[in-house]
Amino acid sequence: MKRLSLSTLALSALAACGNDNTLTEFGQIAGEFQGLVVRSDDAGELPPFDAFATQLDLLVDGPLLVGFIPERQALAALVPFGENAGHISWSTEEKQSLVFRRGVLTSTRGLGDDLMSSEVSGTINALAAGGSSGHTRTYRYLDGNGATETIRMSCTLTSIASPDPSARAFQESCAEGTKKATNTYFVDRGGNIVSSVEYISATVGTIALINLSD
Amino acid sequence: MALAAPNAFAQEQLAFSTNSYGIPGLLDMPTGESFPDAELVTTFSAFSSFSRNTLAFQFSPRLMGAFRYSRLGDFFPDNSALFDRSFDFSAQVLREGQYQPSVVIGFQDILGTGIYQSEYIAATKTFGNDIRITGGLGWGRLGSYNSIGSPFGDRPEIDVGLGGRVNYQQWFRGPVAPFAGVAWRTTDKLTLKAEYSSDAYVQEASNGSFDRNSPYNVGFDYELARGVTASGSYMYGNAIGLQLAFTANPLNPTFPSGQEEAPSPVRPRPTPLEDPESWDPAWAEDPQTVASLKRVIGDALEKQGIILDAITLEPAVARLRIRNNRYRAEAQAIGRTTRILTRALPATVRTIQITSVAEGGIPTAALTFDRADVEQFEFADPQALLNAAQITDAKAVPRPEALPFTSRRFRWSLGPSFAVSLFDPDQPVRAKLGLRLAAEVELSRGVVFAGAIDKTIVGNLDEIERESDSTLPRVRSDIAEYERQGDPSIEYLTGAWYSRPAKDFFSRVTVGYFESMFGGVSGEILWKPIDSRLALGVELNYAMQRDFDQRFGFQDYSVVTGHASAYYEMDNGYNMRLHVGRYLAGDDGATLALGRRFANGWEVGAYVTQTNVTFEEFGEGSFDKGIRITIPFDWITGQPSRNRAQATLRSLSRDGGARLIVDGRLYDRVRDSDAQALENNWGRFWR
Repeated sequence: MKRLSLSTLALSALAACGNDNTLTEFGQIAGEFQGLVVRSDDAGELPPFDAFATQLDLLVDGPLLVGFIPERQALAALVPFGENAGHISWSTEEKQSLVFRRGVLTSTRGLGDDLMSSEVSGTINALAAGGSSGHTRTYRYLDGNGATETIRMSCTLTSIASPDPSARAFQESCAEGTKKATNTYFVDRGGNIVSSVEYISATVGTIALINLSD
Repeated sequence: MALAAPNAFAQEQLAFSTNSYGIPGLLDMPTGESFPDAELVTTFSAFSSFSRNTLAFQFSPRLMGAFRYSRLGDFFPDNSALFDRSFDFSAQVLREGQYQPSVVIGFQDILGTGIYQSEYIAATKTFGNDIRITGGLGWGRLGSYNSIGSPFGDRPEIDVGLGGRVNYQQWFRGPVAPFAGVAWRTTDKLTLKAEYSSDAYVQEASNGSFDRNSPYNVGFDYELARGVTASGSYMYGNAIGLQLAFTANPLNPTFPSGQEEAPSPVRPRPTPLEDPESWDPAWAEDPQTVASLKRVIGDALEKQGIILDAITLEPAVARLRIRNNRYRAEAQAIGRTTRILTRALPATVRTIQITSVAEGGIPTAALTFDRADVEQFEFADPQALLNAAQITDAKAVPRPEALPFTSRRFRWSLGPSFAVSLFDPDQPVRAKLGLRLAAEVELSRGVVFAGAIDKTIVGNLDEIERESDSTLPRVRSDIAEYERQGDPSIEYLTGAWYSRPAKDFFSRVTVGYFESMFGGVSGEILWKPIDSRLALGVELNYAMQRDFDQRFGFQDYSVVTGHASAYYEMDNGYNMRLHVGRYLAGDDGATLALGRRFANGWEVGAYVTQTNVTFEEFGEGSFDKGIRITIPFDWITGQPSRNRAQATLRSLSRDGGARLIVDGRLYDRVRDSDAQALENNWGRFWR
C-alpha cells in the first residue's frame, strides 16, 4: 500500500500544478488522468498508474522510477544506468534518459527540447533547510539555432500541505522574466525525494515522478 | 531584446503584414516595419492581371532582401504578358522608441528593366498595442501619383539596353509623392488594413491593362495556420486582390531537436582500490585485449551511426578517427564517441584524441580531451569542456592505425530525383520527376568511385522550345537537347582522390563525367587551417562537353576552366566567397557569393557572376545571379540526419558565367568539422 500512497502523492501534485494558470493544459490532462484513477477505484480495480508500477515491480528487481509526462500522455519506467559525480542517470527502455542530483532533476535526453543541464545546488540546499525565501536554479537548453541558452531563475521553496503524513511536501516557484517553472517535491523522513513533479521545458512541459526504489 | 538596444524603448517593430510585393507593408505600399531576424517569407499575390511571387529574407535584424518574379498581363500591344524578375533591399535605419517611429529606407527593383523601380522612406508608429500608422515618401513608381516636387532633380531614363545593372542613377531622383496607411490588428489572427497609394500605375494605364480608379486600397490578413496567412483586398477602386504568405524561420524549427536515443552517460574511472586490474598498463601489451577493446568500441560506435576508421590504444592515450554518418553536428558525434570511450577504455588511459573524417575520407580536425575533464564537466556548462579541449589539424597529431575496410564503404540508393526550370517566359515553371539510382564505393582511403543513372518518369523539361540563340559556346543553353536525348542518362560517373598533402592543405583530383553536360579532369588544392576563418583554394579543370544523350561520348567543345577562390567566415554565420577565373564558355570573370549559415545547418545566400561577356552576348538576364537555400533534414523532422535539401533560384541557364559542376569541392566538405563548426554546435556535444 506504500506504492498506492506514493502515486496518490504524485497525482495530487499534478492537480496542484493544474491550478497554476501558466500550466492550464497540463492541468486539464492531469485532471482527466485523476478522473480515470477515481473511476478505476470505483470499479474496484487498481488505478493504471499503480497497475503499471506493480507490473514493473514484478519484472524488475532493484531501483525503479516511474515517470509520467501529461503533455504527451506518456508513462514510462526507468532504471538507473550510470552515475558520475553525484549525478545518477536513469533510462527508459526506449533510451530516453533523466538525470538527478540528490533526487532533483538536472537533465533529460531523448525527449526533444531537452533540459540539457542545470545547476540545482540552491534547490538541494533549500530542501535540506526545509524552505527558502530566495535561491537560484539554472536551466540550460539548446535554442532553435542549436546554441546553448542559459536561464537563471530566481526561486522560492515553501512547505505545502501534504496528502500523506509520511512525507513532507514543498513547492518551488521559479521565474525569470516571463518564464516560469513550478516544481513540487515529496520528501520522506530520511530526507529522500520519493515523488516529484518537475518542469523540463516549454515543449515537454512537466514530468511527474515516483521513485519505487526501496 | 529591449535590454540589448541602446535606447531602453527602442525595439524591433515586427511586421503586422506583407504587402502585394511580399515585403513588410500594407496593401501596395511599404511600411517602416521589418520581419523578425532570419524570417524567410514566400508570398503569392495577385490582383487584376498582375501576379507577384516574392521570396524575402531578413538577412540581419536590420537588412532585408527580396527576389520577385512577376507577371504583368496585357502588357504588350498584342495583349501578351510581361514576365519580370526584380530584386529589392531595405534597411531599417531607426527602431521604434517611445516617441520615435520605426523607419525603413527601401529600394525596389534595383536591377534591369526596373518596371517596379522605386525608392522610399517609410515611418511606422505603434499606438496602443494593435494600431500602426504609416507615412512615407516614394520616388520612381511610388512617386507617380500626386507628386509634391522633385527635390533631387530629374529622374534619368533607365538605359535598358545595358540592362542587368544596378540603376543607382535613378535613386531618389524625380518626383516624390507621399503615401500613408493604417493597420489594425483586431485579434491574433485578423488584421485590417487601409492605405492611400502614391503609385499611379502609369504604364499599366497607358497600355490599357489597368484602370486605376482610386488611390485608396483596403484589405485584411487572416492567419490560417502557424506560418500561413491569407489576405484579401479591394485595390484601386477596381480589382479584388488575393494573397497567400508562407513564413518559415530557421531559428524556429518545426520540431524540437533531440528526439534520438539518449547517449550513454560518462562512466567515471574506478579508483585503483576498486579495480586494480583496470589501472594496470599491462593490458596494452596483450594483443588480444587490445583487439577486443577495438572491436567493442567499433561495435558501440556503429550503433550510433559512427564508423570507426582508425584506432590506436596506448596505456595512457587513445587515438581514433571516426566518420559520422548520422548527426548533422559533428560535435554530437564526437560527444557520443567520447562517452562510449569512457565506458570502454581501461582506467590508465588519460587522454582521448578523436579526429573527424569528412566525406570522401578527408581527416579534418582532431579534438584532444583530458579524460578527467570529460568526467568532471559532464553536467556542467558545455563551454567548460570546450575551453579545456584542444582543437588541432588532423595532420598535427599522430595518425592512428587504420582498420581494415569493410562492406560499409559501399553505399547505394534508389530514389526520386527532381529538377526544375524557372523563369522561361514561354512557361515560367517546368519540372521533371525522375528515378535515380546512385552508388558510391570507397576503394581505399580517400579513393571514391561514384555514379548515378537518372530516368525521367514524368515532366515537361524536354518541352523547352527556345532554341539557343547564344553567340557564345553553348555550354548551358542546349539544355533542351540534353533533356530530349538524355533519357535515361548517366548523370555522373567519377573517380576521385582526396588527400591531405600537408598540415592546413587539402587536395582533390576527380576524373570522369562530372555532371550532365561536362566531363574531364578536375584538380583542386585548398588551404584551410582548421581554426581559420579564411580559406584559399585553386581549382583547375579540363572539361569536355558531353554528348546530348549523356552516355559516354563527348562533343568537340573543350575548355580549360578554373578559379582561384577565397572563403571567409564572419561572426554570426555570415560568410563570403569569391571565385575569380575562367568559366565554361571561356569567359573570364568572378563570382561573389554572400550568405548566412545558421549553426543549425540552414543556409540562405545570394550570388552574382560577372564576366567579360557583354550583356548582349549573355542574353536575357544580362548576367548570372541567383539565390541558394539549404534546409537540413534534421531541422524539419527533429530526427538526426546529415541530409539536406538544397534549392537554387536562378535565371534561365545561359552560357556566360557558367561554372563547372563537380562533386566533392573541398571547402564544403571540410567546413562541417572545422573549429568554427565544432564551436558553433558545441551545445550538442552532450546531446
